[in-house]
Amino acid sequence: MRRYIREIDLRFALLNLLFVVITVLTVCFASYSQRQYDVRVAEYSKAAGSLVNQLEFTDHDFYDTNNVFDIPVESYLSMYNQITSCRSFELYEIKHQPIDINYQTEAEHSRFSKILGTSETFESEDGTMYFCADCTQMSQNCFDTYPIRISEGRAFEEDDFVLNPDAPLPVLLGSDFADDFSVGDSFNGCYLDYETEFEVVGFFTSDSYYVVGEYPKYLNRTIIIPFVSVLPEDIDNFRDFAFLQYTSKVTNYIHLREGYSMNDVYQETEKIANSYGLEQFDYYGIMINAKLGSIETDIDMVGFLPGLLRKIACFLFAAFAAVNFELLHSRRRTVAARLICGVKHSTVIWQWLTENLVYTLLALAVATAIGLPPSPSDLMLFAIMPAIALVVSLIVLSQRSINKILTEEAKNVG
Amino acid sequence: MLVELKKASRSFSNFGREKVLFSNADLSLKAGEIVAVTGASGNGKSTLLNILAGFETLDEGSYFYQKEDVTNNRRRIGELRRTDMSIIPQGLLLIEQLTAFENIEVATEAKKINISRETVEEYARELEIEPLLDIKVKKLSLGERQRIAIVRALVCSGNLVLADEPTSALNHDLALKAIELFRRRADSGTAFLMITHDLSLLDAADTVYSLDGGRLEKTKKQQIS
Ligand SMILES: Nc1ncnc2c1ncn2[C@@H]1O[C@H](COP(=O)(O)OP(=O)(O)O)[C@@H](O)[C@H]1O
Ligand SMILES: [Mg+2]
Repeated sequence: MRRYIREIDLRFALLNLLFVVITVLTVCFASYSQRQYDVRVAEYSKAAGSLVNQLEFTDHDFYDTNNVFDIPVESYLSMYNQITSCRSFELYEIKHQPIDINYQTEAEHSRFSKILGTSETFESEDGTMYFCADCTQMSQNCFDTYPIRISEGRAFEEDDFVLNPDAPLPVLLGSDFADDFSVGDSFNGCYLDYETEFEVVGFFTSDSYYVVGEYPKYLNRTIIIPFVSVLPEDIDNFRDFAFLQYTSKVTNYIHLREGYSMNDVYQETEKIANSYGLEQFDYYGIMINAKLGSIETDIDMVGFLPGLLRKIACFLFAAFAAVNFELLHSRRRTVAARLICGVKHSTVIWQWLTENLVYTLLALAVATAIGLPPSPSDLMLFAIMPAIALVVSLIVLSQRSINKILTEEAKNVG
Repeated sequence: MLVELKKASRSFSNFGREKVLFSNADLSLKAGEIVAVTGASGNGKSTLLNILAGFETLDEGSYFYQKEDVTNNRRRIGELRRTDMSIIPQGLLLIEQLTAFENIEVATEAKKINISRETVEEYARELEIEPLLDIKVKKLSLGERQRIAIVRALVCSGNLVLADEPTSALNHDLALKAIELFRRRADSGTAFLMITHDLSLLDAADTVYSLDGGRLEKTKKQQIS
């Protein structure tokens, strides 16, 4: 054993070892960064699952022309139904919508403007005074998801989310309105183009909020109305309203469902968009919190590494094969010397394999020591190295090549 | 007979040109016999020796070792190399990084025989290389290496020693000493096949073959000397 080690030309052996170490480290680092990447992606998916992304069309013709208006309202209704039954995400409908409230006296106006701030007022042709109040429309699932509680009156019920022409539209008010309003109060106004009566059905607690964007939005000074849908049988009577309502409903926020990725969302929504002749839905990166954003940059940074390292590793494997070849080639005379002494050809090849296996194990030990332990699949990969060594030995130590050495004349070295 | 080649032929084709090294050649070797093969350079002597050593193959004919047909049976001749033969190749093939003695150990170990340091020293002393046994081969001169290769072969010789120009780098005195050693081993039953141009070696040989123009022929010793 000691003698065998002394037969090895140390400089060449070190070069070989160096290549093995670099190759192994590169492969280990590749899978290390892959694991880092996977962890971040998992973190991201988890975070994304509890947060909201915004879903929008990016049909170029959407805003420029009236292309979108060529699509009949029925199509938007069924598109809405398809979006709400997607598997990868849940649609959350939250959207500001100014409503025009009519008032007779300044007192009626000021109990709103006190809370909402001064707003635009105007007079209609028949002399009715209107002011513009910013409301927020919300779908039912928002109330289940965010910490929104009712201090007085009642919450919205399922029926409230369907347009009912025979009943007033229910309204929930923020806690700051509680001094000037009471449950049962009503006022008239215009919601999109739909003239209706609004009825205050309850108030939020002062700590109620929802989150869109990074920060919570408290509801103290907010008027919330249900994001109503229009029953198919009512569509004919409320065509314009329904049209505006559904085009607005389909571009909204989404929650990723557990176990799905944004990629799944892209696939599902793209299919839907295409089937209605729209280019696609886009997802505004309204990352709901900074954490998600930072994970995302991390993912971008870590994401390209494994692929790059794997490419480098391929190159290194090739370089290793070349070095391995050269090394054994330089040792052919030593091998021939052993063969004429009666050492078996297979023994020589085994020794070569063992030598390379030792290098590989050493390199793996180094990798583990510096915190880049190989994954089980890497171990399979490292079997390539002894395999390369085997192929190299079969070529370099072929009978032909050995015979050539045996007929060589002695060189005068001394 | 220890070794018999019958109607043996071997040729190489180099760049499409067929070169017949020998054809229809007969060669035999008895236990204790010293056989010399002469011939000009490039006539195929080393190839003949490699065939006997199991590294090269015959194109035609047969090779019997102790009556066993081992023609082109590399595996079997490989075993014989371990148990029965020792070789002094033309290129000597010593392991440069090892000392002379360690080189001899490589051989005894491969052949699984126990040879004492004293035995090695005895042989080395006769060839005047005893003080060199613990020096790395790469520091030795060609003549010194050649003697180490001789000692390596003799120390663990079985029934057959194949020697390819074993004294080419030795002066006359040392060559004679080497032959003296060969003769002593031969007297105890080892057969020698030597390739040589050395007249003193030819003198010591029991039989001389010449390999020339594709023909291997027994020559009367007198004709040569
Ligand atoms: N493997 C081989 N392939 C082709 N030609 C070979 C091979 N080995 C030897 N030869 C040729 O055979 C001839 C004899 O070589 P060799 O046996 O070394 O001669 P010698 O030992 O008598 O000088 C040479 O011309 C050499 O070129
Ligand atoms: Mg020769």
